[in-house]
Amino acid sequence: MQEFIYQFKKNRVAVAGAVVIAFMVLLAIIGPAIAPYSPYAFVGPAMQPPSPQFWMGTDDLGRDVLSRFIYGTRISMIVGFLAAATSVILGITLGAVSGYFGGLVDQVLMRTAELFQVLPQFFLALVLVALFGSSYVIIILVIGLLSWPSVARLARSEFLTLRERDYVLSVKALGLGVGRVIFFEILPNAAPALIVAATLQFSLAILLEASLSFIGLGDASYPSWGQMLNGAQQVFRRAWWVAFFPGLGVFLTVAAFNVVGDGLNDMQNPRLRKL
Amino acid sequence: MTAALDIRGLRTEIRTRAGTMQVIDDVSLRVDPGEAVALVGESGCGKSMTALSVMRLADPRTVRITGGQVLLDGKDLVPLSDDEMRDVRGRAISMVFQDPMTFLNPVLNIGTQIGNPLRRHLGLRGAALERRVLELLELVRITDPRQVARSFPHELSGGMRQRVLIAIALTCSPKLLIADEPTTALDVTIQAQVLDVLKTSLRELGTSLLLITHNMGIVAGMCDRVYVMYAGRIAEEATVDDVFAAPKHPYTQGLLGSVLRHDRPPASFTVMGGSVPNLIDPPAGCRFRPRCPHAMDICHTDPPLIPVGDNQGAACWLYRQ
Amino acid sequence: MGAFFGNPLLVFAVKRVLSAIPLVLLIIVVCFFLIQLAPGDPVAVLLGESNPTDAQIAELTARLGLDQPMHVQLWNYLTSVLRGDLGYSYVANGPVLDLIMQRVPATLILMLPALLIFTAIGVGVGLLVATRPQSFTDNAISVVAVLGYSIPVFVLGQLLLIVFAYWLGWFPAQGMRNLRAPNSGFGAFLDLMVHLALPALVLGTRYLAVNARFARASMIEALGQDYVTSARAQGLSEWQVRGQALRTAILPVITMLGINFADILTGTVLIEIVFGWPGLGRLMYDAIFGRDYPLLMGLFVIAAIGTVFVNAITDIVYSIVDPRVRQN
Repeated sequence: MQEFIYQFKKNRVAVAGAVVIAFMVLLAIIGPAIAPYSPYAFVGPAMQPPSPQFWMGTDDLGRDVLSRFIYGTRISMIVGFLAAATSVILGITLGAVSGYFGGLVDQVLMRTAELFQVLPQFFLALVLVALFGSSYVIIILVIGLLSWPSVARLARSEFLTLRERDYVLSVKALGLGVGRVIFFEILPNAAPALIVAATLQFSLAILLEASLSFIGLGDASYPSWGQMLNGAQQVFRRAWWVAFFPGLGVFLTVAAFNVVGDGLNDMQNPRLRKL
Repeated sequence: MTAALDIRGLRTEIRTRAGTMQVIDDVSLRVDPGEAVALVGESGCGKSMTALSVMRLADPRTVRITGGQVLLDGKDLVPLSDDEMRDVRGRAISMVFQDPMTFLNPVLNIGTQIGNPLRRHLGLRGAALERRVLELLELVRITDPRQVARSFPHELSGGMRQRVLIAIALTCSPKLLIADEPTTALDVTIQAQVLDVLKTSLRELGTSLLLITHNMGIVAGMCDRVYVMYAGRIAEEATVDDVFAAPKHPYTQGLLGSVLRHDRPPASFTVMGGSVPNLIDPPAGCRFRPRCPHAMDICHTDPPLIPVGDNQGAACWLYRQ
Repeated sequence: MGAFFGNPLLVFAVKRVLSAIPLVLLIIVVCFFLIQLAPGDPVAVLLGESNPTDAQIAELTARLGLDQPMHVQLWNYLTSVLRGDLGYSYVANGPVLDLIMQRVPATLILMLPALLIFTAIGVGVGLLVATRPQSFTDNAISVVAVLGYSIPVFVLGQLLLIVFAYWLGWFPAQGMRNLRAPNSGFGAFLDLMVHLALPALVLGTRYLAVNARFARASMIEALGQDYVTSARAQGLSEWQVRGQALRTAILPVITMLGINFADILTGTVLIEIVFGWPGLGRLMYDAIFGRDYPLLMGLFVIAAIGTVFVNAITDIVYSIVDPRVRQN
């Protein structure tokens, strides 16, 4: 663990990313308590630039952009987390089963994964959300169900390599069951790669939700950055702040996850280790 | 007579996070023209690193030659610039590596890969180039040279790939060929074939050989003289006959004793206790001292290579005059 | 004929194209079932918010043959799509395929130049920094690259629009052409370029970053391979050595181009919305607004088929560079 922290700290960009993530998580948790106004209320004249009263200005309906931003943070974190969790859990399960058991199961699962990977994710997501309704539940499910293939591929290859490793064979020879082998021998060793995958899934989920909301498929019951950007489309010519802040939010959060994921990935590659 | 290769007092270090490793410490060896010399030792003793130091192929960011000379046909390679060294490599001195699958470029055909050094060093082109490529393939006894020249590495067998690597190394008729574990990755049945090809093609071109291996068996069949290396230093130097009949250094004795032989009773099989020393902080004096059954007080001082008999030398105080 | 079958490259190419066909069929089948699975009656779904007359409803019901068994409906759907009939948009009033095809050229004009130029630059940059890993230049470029592909295209688009079009006025803000500009000749070309600049830059930034990162990682990996040591041992010049590494490093990059195509198309479409570019993006935006499901399904089918097609092409190009995949 100490070695891990030592190596991670050397990558200053990744550390910055981790700080941003921590900040966003914090904001997501305590945000609504510290937001100055309700995100739905019309609290001031429309399209006011940032001022001491409205730190991020007001939007075209007179709502406080800062408060909406804060609530949007919460949505991004929740949607990102749940969607990533869905795709990671689904991916690891299917990938592990596929890699461990092989044969027909493997063939079928991998062909299905290939099919999902060929289909353009965004277009499929938009068709599904348009057909089934744009609620956050649907959005989370759709994102999760579309992103599992890459995680599954990874899990499968980890399982394939590790399945035949000597220490796994020796544990099996001792008579331990399949479940224990998977949990105590294979998963811990596959964990680093899977954690990197999970991090990237998080950033993809946030990006996908923002994109769907941007084109008008967001769930209006709760403000999200993507929806704010959608609303900003009409007015950002005159009110740059309405687009700038939510845009910054998405950018920083996605960048933070990507950078941390990269950092974790580089740490595993011995060729890139710093001396 | 100038030696083909004359290494004098070579020192090489490797920088690691844990410290600087003296991986080659005052190593001297010599290969005469036309000779085949073996450099043997267990994994980690520095024999591969010696080859890489001679060829200056090691990663310059972490590996440095800190002393000594490497005389190729009388000319010192150590002070050469990178450009000058590139002219020497593949031409006056070349190397054959262990695993023919990974040491050949998978996306280029054999003809192109053999042709590269020919183009680079001898400036051959067109028909002359093609002819030389086919000649080289015949030299290593490949039966259908035209077909093989068009093929890709993954289409050939292991033995054929290794012979191609040999052909690539011999393109410019070098003075010296360094072979680093050339048959370790091959099936036993193919090993003999490849070694035979190596022997005959070297003889045909008059090229000297420095064979690096941990397999004493091939040494017997291929080489005239042997250097035994341990923990970055030369422990013993002898002709092949002498080293098998009467090894002098306790390490060599242990090494040969730990090989099962069909003509000796199993009881004579010995095992050396202990393990290889830490090269970042090696023990003072003889590096084998901690494991040596004959260790004495004087062994706390570095032993020089002491001549024993006409053609043998051991770095061991047992033989002090 | 013998010569044809003897050439592994051609055989591979044909096999690859043929294997794409079942995939296309599968996509169409998936579409069919999506319409069926969606909540609500398929007729209502297909008519969307077009305020249909009773006559239209009746006509559509009969045409879809909803009283017929599922497999007949599926067959009808499959055959009509393959004939090029992607349905009719009641909201936009026109055959779906025609509506889409009208907008495709504009999308291609935006997508292709940005793609080609910036991908090439990105790969070039990536390959170059790979020769000096962990140097200052390398680290700086790596950070910039991550930021470049982390920023959503519509965010970057809005940002550039605000700064360069609205505040500085250097570029036009919306659209592909100025109505008052000449219709043909150099004037028309210049007008197009000026309108293309910002959106292409946004798209390009993303792909430059993506490809630079990937090319770098791939090249670092290739440079660490044993055959590179072999090449050095032969005394080949450093450029020749890198050239050898390049041939293998380029392989994952080629594959990525295929995989990234869907993302590229998505990016193009989103940028079109920001810049009011008259391509598929705008069409999609309006279709969502008007709940125009036939058009959305049609867009999905076209996008999916396009992706399958591009993937097949990249696989074939890959096999040209890497002989190992030609035999199976």
